[in-house]
Amino acid sequence: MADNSSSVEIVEGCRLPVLRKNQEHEDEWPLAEILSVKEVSSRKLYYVHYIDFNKRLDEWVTGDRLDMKKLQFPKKEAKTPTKNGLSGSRPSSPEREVVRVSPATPVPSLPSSAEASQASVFPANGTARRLVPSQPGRKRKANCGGAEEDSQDSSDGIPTAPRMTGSLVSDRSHDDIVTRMKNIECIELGRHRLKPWYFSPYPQELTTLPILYLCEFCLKYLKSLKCLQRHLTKCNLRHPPGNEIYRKGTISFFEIDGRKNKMYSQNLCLLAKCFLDHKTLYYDTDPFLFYVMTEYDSKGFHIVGYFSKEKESTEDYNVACILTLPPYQRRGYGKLLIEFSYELSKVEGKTGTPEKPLSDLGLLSYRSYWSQTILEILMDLKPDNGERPQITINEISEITSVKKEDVISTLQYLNLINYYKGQYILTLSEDIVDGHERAMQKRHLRIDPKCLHFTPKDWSKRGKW
Amino acid sequence: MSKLSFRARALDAAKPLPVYRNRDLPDLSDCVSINRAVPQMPTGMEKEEELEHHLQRAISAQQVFREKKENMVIPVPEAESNTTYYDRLYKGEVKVPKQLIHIQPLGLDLEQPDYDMDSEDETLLNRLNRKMEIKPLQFEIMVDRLEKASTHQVVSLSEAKLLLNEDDYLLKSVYDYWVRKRKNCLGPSLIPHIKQEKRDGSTNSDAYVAFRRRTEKMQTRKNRKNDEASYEKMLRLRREFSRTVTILEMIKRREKSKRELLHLTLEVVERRYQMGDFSGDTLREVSLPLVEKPVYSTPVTLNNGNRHKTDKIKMQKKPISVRDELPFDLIRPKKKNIRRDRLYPPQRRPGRPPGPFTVNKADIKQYDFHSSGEDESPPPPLSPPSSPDEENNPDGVFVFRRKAGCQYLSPCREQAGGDHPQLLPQCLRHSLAELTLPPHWTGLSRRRIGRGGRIILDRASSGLDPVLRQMDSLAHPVFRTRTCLLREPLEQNPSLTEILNNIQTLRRFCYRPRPVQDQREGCRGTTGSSLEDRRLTCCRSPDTNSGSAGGITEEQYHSHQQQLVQMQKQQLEQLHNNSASYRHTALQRSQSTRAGESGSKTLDSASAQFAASAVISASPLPPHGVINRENKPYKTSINGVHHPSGPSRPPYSSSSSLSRSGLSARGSLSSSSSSPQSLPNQRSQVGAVSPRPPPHTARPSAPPTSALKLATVATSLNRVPKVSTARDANEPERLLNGLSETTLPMEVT
Repeated sequence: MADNSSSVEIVEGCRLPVLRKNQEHEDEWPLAEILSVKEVSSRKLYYVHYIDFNKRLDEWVTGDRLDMKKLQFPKKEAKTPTKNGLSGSRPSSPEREVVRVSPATPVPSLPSSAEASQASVFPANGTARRLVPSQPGRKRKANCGGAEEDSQDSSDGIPTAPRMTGSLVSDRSHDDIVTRMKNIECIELGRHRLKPWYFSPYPQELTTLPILYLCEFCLKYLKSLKCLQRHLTKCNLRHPPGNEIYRKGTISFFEIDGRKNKMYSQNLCLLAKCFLDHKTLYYDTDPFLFYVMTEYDSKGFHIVGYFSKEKESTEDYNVACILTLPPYQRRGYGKLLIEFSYELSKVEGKTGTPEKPLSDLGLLSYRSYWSQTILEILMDLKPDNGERPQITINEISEITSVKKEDVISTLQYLNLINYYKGQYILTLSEDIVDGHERAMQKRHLRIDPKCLHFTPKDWSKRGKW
Repeated sequence: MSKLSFRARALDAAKPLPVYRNRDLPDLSDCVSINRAVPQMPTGMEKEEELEHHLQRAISAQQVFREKKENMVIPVPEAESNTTYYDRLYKGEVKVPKQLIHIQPLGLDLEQPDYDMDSEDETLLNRLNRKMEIKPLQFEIMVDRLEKASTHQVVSLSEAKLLLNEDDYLLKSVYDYWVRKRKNCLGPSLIPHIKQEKRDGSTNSDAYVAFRRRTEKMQTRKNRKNDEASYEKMLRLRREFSRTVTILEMIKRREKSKRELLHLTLEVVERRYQMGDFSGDTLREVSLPLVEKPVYSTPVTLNNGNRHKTDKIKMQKKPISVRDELPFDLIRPKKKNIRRDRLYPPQRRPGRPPGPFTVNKADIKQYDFHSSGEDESPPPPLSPPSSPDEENNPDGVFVFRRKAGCQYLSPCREQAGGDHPQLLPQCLRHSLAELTLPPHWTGLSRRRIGRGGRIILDRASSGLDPVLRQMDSLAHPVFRTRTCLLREPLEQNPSLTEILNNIQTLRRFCYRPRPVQDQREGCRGTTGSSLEDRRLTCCRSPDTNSGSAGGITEEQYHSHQQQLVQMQKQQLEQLHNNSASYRHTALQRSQSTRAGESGSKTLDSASAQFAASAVISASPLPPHGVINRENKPYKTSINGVHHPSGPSRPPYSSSSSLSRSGLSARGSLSSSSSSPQSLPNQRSQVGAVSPRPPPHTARPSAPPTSALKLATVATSLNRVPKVSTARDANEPERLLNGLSETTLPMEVT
């Protein structure tokens, strides 16, 4: 396509279809918003966010990928996209009315309406979806009654410091144009080259580099290969700097105290932030423990993923942030991390739940884990005394350490729970059973509780975290 | 979608749910719609993201296929895993230990520079390596130090030189290179750092600032309590550190004194060698009078350390003269034993008679850093404090306790000295006596043998006093003229003894104990000098006849001061010339000592006379037993009654001294400042004036700073401190005394 940027000035906030390849390597033209424009060697580049796609797919594109014919200029009354407060469907207040996704009639270009962009469950072909949704950058409030109590946005415009518990932000009032854009082009970590998905506050002078080098073991950031080379002469680490609390086969878990090992914890958080949209690095790492999963080979214990956990959680969170590094994704490591987190909760004798909001991948992973874990229990139930096996939700929760609400939501999601003849029953359909059995066959990686050497500390007894 | 005709009961998590297989429930399809009655749980996602295309597609795919489909997964940016140089970069192999890895706390912090050399640095290094050898690590350490020492401004070259202990050329080239590189650097530092928060809150919404400190911590009450405790601990720590500083300062001072002592000793030895004093005779002669050196009782005040304030006052109140075996062990037995051992013997010099010591309580105490807690009160007073404001236990162990069934009568003032002879054994009676040698003191007295065989005369007042006083005043005109005479020739003629002898032959003095004072007088005494207390209360002031306390004008006083200074100089010269006779010297010594140490203006002729007479009368006694009541800086009375104006007073102000001399001239109210309430009976009053063996200054340099400090305090109380003069006069003497002094070891244990 011709470079027609010269004819029309494309500014931030413009929307237009942008060419991209989908997973089948087919061309598609999803609508995108221009977030930034820059000129590199007299060639204009546009940072685009594909509407209704996750931010991680945002990218710099050349002018020839823009469909200028369908260009929409930013609305006058629209606020700048630098401020947007979104309230999610976090279940932090149980009484809150939940606006469920309902089949929506597309309401074209009415950005102020919260419901406008609600997507229906579309047929598998994503290209069918061509409605004009609301501007994602718009601040919006769920227009349901109880929502306000949860709203932490600073509608009065005074930036307030975020809450000090937890590791995730739901409040997007600080989500300005800087943090909406990826700032690191590429990270080299050991054998891998990772393309970050989101903004991460690495030192600003390093964001201009084509590649940011990380020490694979201490995760220190370095500006060049030479520096990394020099660093490796001084860095003796060949595993995360913590105590190994689990090892089975090549998989190990290391526990790192965010207060005692600040440097590593911070480096880990910086790396993780590249792949976790809602993670906040606003505050220090002191109140967290980091559980780093590694895979061993002759070069050392290579980081595969990690999860962090508050030393003391007021909200039953047993996971704050959880991440499988991209090279290891979709190989069962995520589920292994989740399983491990629940094993820790079992040792602690608590139920737990991941901190909200979940990401899309997080939701899928957790749902998958919960489904498999619960189905495993339900399928194993044997009728006793010839009577129909039965189980309470509390029992499931106790066995699995999965929080009750998550059990219920999973049962609902799997459509297992039904109201039948005046009482609730659980029903297992054939396709669920079959699907579960197939999935379990593929699940080789499991945590072996016998290999876990973990004694929980009572952090509340300590003066500090 | 049929509307529910009934409301489904809430899902009870505690209620058992029967588990069915779908095939067991053929009529389940009827219930499907009811499913909606179950309240939906939130997904936990941001609403906006929940609706994202790829997620919805994945969810629906999963619901359709019950399985992950490759093309239905959420797309993510790609990652490569084929770094070719990986093996070259990460060298070596790692063996898995059998045990789980357990990291040593603190084991991680190897002192490695945070700075990592880049290729640009490598070029420089290669260039430098042609001239000298510099290793990459060495270079990194240098840059690391420079970086860490710099903030917004780079360190200067001179600072860099201090930071880096390197060859000048190398340092210069690296420094210049570093400065240049830092200028061109994009970031604030060559070592990239995460942006730190600023305290002013300006960085609150800076996206690049991360890991802010949690200032308002989530605290429970328990934690707050914890903080309080740690705050107190910090306070304590600070206190202890400041105490350490004090101790170190004093150690420094001690070492300086030691050095001074050494130099002086050296000088003395040299002088002795020059004059051929190989037998030590001259030295003995010279050092004898030094024994009389009065204790400079001003305590060394700690100029930092928070005990300072309270203790200073307390120390002043209860200084104690401790002689060799004085049992202050009674109070703090353990520590003192050790300390005293250290105090004495090593400094004792051969060829010098072992003089008696006075160890000032204050002196001891200041090294006695036994505790740091506020809760700890200073040790109980060694000697009874006598100031009227000490309510509780003014007399310590000597406190007067009423005996049951005993009647106590107030002392008879008129008959002060007249103890009933029939009630007393012979040896305790006072009798009218006169000193046979000039200056022929006359008065009611009783003789005792004191420590070391000294003769002690306990004075007493009696009904004879007025008569004796009259005698005194009768003799006075002579005295007065003599004094006038004395002053003038003094300036040209140093032959003091001659004049004194003249006077002594002409004078007859009455002596009697200090009378009980009224409160006002006592107060005055407390605030001012202590010297007068120590003096015999004989009426001998040259101004008696002038009839007014203000008989001496300021000018006169000052001229007198100058005279005294001059006098001392002359005396010192004499001493150096070593021409004077022993007695002569001794006299002068006693004079100069007193003058120097206790304030020069106190060297009036009368005291000089008395000193001389004392020397004469005491001559058969052991040499160190020279009566020295004048020189005692404070008085510790025999019965433990202690006079408030005590030892720790700074050198006296002229005004108070003048007024006191005026008072003493009037005779009836002599200047003593004994506190009436601390005298349990008549006899104690008598005993109070009995001469004490010469106290000995334990330390050559009574800390001038503290003296000055006290002096300033005195000034603020409307008194004119004479510290400087006293010190000037003191200085040469101190030099002389240096060798005879026993330096207190300031062992800090």
